Amino acid sequence: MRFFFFHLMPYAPLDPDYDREHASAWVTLPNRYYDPEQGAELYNRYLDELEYAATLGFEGVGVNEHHQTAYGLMPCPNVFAGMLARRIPAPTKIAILGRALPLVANPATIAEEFAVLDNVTRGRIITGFVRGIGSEYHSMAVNPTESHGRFQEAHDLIIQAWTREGPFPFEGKYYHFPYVNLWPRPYRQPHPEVWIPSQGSSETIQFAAHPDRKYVYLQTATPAVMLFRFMQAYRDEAQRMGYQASPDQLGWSVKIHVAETDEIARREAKPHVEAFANKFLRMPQEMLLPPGYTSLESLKRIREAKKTITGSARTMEAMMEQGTFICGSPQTVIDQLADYQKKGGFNIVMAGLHYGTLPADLTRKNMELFAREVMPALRDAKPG
Amino acid sequence: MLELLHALRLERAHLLGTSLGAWVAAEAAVKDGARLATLVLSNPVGLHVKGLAMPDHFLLPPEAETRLAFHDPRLVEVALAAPVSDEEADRQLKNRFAYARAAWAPRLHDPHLEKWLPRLRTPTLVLNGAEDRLVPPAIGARYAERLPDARQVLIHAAGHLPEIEQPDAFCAAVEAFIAERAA
Repeated sequence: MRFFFFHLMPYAPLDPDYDREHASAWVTLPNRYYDPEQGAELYNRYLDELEYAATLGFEGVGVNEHHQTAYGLMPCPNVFAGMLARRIPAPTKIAILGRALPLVANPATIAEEFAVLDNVTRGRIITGFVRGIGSEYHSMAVNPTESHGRFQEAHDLIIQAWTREGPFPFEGKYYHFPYVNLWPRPYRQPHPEVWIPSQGSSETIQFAAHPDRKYVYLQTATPAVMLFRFMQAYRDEAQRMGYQASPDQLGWSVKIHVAETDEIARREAKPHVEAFANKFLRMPQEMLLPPGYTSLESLKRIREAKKTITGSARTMEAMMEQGTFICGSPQTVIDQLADYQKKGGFNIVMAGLHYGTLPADLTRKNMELFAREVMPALRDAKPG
Repeated sequence: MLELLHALRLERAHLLGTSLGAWVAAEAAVKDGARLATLVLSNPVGLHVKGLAMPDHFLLPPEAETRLAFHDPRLVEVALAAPVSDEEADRQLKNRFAYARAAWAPRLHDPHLEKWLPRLRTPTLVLNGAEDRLVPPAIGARYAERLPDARQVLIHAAGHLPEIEQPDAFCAAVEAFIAERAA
């Protein structure tokens, strides 16, 4: 099993009573709720945590992108990767999970930024490509009905920018540029490793599993039963396309809290993971799923399933029950990860060891216990 | 729509559009207004009036759009109580998708439309429910200002759907206009 450390950088000091007046922590929550003094403190602490993770033996660290929200303070993930690039030495990788391709006017700028990071780190970055969640389409005024189309075309433009000799013209439906000519060219050949974080959609799975791409598929924010289904769907798709998928093409992003005993873990985690679920994730359906973001069929299915990953109160117990939060003693966590690996067939774990309002001391303890007690026990664990 | 007019051989049609439909009607008329006798734009969107406040149609919670659409609260209750079949729900979803495709960004307008309006000489009536809380009548006023042969008429005690709330006043305004202006 391979381990990465993932940070979401929430604005932890958010006034928890904001929801008396505002329906969402995203897009429309006034930014006067952000205090730069506390924010500056937080940013430096969070960056320290990412650098600390590199010393604890994680294969890599991951940063993230969200706009105009208290949920996460990284609207520009490549800037954060840049801040870490010279501070985190080889061989530790830096994963940008993910860059939301449809949100920019010129996706070649994403290719540029990644290429710069790839050169400076001599090939240690992982480039995540995402569509961006629904709220980003409100924040950035990009048409959600074009989300899939723009993602595909932006992906093609970026891969071509990395691999074709420039200058060449790019003439697409959404993007037209007479000159695409990347300086620098990427360091890693043929290009940086591409991962596709996703909440689970058959189109995304098919896209990632295609033999021309074989992108690592990273499952996020999903109950265990769906996780196993999506992992199997990836393997089935690979099979259908004529090859056998490796477990290193599959990853799971999950929040984890380890403490000395199960009881201590639950007591420590409860207020902070519930703040994550109820205060930071909070957004109405109209924001999460704007029209056209998913197909009509998908939207109807989601509504029927009354999918409520946001908007309704969640308890730690419910999250543990459905497998979106792992919490316990080192042995409990080891057992659960091993069990999920057996059922899901993945080799990569993106460990969210900070979440919500988890304070600095508990974050460090969580990271240390995970790195010293859990990771060594599972290093040689393989699925199947 | 222009193809339809052509296929039906309608040379002197009266074209009426409401809300998003009014925007479509204006776009079509600008491209081929010669075949139209008159144009009616009811509660139109499609132009940008800088600084004008408008609710975000794509962030309204369920029911809110219906509440904002009518001036008369009794009509709101009637609309909300009406049963919605699966077919109707599907239709509404499809409309929502089409609406987003056309109107998400730039929000509810075509930046290139306004400059062509002075070329559209078709006699035009702009109708607005005076109490429209979904789409401000100021947009209709802008159409009336820019079109060379147009005037705006406000229908009182009506919101975004005057054809439903004040059908007599709505129809009287349209009929009088057509009778007066159709050559």
